[in-house]
Amino acid sequence: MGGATSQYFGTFSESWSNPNVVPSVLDKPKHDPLFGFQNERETREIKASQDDLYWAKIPASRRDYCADHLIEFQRCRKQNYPFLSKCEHIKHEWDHCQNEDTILRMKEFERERRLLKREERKRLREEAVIQ
Amino acid sequence: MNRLALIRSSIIFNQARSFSSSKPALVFAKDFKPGPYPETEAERRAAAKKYGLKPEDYQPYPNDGFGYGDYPNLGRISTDMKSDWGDYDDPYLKRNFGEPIVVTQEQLTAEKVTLRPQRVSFSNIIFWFLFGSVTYIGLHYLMWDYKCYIPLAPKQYPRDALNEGEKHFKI
Amino acid sequence: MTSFYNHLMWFTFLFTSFCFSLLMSFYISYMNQALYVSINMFSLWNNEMSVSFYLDYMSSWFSTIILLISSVIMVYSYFYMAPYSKSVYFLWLTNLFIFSMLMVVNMSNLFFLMLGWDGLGLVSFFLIVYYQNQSSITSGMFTLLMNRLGDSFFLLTIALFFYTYPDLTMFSSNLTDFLSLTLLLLTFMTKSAIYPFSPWLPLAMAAPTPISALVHSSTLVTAGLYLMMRFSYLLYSSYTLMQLLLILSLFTSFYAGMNSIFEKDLKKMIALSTLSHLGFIGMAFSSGLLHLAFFHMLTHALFKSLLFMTMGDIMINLNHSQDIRYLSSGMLYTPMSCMVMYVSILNLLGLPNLSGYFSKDLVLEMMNYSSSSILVMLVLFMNVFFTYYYTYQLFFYSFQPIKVLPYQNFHSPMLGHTLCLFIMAISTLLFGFFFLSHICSLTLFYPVPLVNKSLPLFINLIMFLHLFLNTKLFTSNSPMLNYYFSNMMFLSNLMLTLSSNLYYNLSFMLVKSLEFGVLNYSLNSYPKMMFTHLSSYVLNLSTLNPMKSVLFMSSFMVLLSVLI
Repeated sequence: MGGATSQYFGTFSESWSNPNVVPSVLDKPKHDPLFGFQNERETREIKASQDDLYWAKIPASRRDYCADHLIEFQRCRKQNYPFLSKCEHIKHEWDHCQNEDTILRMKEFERERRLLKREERKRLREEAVIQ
Repeated sequence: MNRLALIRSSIIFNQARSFSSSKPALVFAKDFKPGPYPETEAERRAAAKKYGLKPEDYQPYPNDGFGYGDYPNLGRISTDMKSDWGDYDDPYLKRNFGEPIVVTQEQLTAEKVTLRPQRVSFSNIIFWFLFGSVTYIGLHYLMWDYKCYIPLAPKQYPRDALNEGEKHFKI
Repeated sequence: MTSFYNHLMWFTFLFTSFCFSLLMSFYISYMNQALYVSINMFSLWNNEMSVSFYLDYMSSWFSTIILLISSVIMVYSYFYMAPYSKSVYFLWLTNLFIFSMLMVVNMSNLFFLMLGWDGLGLVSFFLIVYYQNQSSITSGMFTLLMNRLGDSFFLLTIALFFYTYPDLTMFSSNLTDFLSLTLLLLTFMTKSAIYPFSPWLPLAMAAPTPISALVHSSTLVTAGLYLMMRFSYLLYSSYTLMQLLLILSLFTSFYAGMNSIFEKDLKKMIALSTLSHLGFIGMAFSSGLLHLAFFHMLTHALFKSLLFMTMGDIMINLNHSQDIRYLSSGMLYTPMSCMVMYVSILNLLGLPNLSGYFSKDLVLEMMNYSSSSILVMLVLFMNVFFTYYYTYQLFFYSFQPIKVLPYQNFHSPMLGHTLCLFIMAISTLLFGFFFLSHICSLTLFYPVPLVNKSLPLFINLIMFLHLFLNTKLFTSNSPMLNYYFSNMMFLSNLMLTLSSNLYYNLSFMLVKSLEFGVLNYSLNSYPKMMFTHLSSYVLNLSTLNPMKSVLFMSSFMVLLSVLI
């Protein structure tokens, strides 16, 4: 708990003192996604198309990479209403997918942060060399 | 017939007054207006008798243009400052029959205004109110840019991947 | 005895309406649709006046909750106020209030919404002055005037909306300029007692307890927040206003919490708890958590009204004394009421898997994800601390087996009364989980750092231990500090002018200078006197002969109609 807490506090408190080392939470990452990878990165896929998402009436904020499971969940709900305990396993699949997505976001944030720190170090070394 | 004559005469009388004099007339009950400021001792005694006070208790407001004529100055006493346990004719107003009424009585009843000396003075109240609210709200606005968040990259949506660069898994 | 049948009749009517509304809500949530019913009364060119209902999941679920609470209140109020009830008067007012609230919740025509909104303010005044004594009239006047202020803002916004688009439907305006949004926000802030407009809420506890349970915990104060959620499509377009609302709602929660530490009056403490939760809902709304804020509004309505009702039961034992220092041995003599009160207290504390946990702690978690400043998070956790403090005060003071008053009535409530409270208690227990899984099925549960998750529980434990070890109220020795925090940082002082007769003096001076001075000269001088004398002449003529007056009046009206 100590490590996670200090990491949590350290991230945003660093953004107050040194904002160009901390990646942004709202904007997209600046670096190339393939930078630094020797092997290829797998792409994220969803099976449902944008039309499927539209006709399933999923709100725009939920049309992410876990939307397939959500469509299945809604279909199961509609069929089994009001006995919704039968849909628990699909909901668990959706929750699990969301958890994976969150972990991926954490990894992306950490990757971006390390790249920014690396650039900062390079910048400071160049300035030290100039002086 | 007699009533008609009276009414006609009163109308003509009022019209004559308004035509002849330039002094504006109020439509207030001028019988209730207090008399002029008492100059002589005899006037003071008469005024005290009129208001039901003893001559030594009678004290009019000073005649500086903001006074009330010969209406007595009964002190800054509101109804909640009077004793709750006294034997009054009117317990709500805490007043006996014939007792003179304070000039600003309509402010002083019904828990409206109390003239009791308060624990905290008015300037103190204003100061601490402004201090608390301005400090709090100002502090919020000052510290608005010092954010506190959970370190996650923004969420990736497939609709963004259709147009520009693709999104990737990380193994 | 007739009052019993009156109350029973209204209870059955409201309970059947509740069941019907529940089925309706299930249907609407299942179909994920909204129902728009519009009955056109009359139309003139391109304007139409229609009674239009807009039933989506928000309005149907809120109506369900309101009808449940009001049906329980019908039974509760009979048993609570049986010795001195003016039943017909009471039932008229309560039913008018429920009707106005349902109009506010369901109507989409702004005119009828205004009707319900004004009705809420007016009827709540009459309910506050139900017991006719001096303190209730001051509270009632203050409530009425503050609500009237909000009504005036509402009228201005309706006028602005109508000016841009000549249709009085709720969703037809697309005004996003700062002025109209400010006016809109101000109306909702007055009704829901956000920062500058909040001193009326603790004072409104002069109303009888069933009225407090119905009005001041769940319906009147949440009407503003509910309409805010309805108009969220407009309000969310303005960053500054949402920032302002966030800060002011947090401030409301903060000083309500500070006030409740120093508060010794039971009902005022619960009123301040309500105020704190209203600020919480406003904060959740302004951070974009619309559905969660609505969910918290519903669960809060349930457990807060339950708390008021059980507190009323315990107060009967104390001869209606509202002082918390007399509140003791509740557990020993009225275990049933106390247990039901503890159900609602557990919801307030946010015990896991109860409704209060789902609504409140979810908002606390999601606030980590809104990019809010560090001060917001600190104040938020401080408000959580205050909540635990006063909740544990209530718990410990009622749990102690020390009898404080020499004579205490052992009034154990009757069966019907207890059954109704059980209905409410069971609904508070089950509603949260049920709502979250059935209705808000698309809620995302984001992970939260352990420190944020465990901090509320940790504060909870600390507060429990602290108050377990020294079960006494917090007082400070400085009268200034006591006075400061007991009066909402002097906000209520300034609003009520308890400290000075400034406003009366000002009006007195105005009267002396204007009415007796300038206006007297300008309006009553020679040329304008003609008009007053003409009217008095006419009136004098009319008193002479009835026949003549009738002829004169009819000729006058014929003349007017010919002119028009």
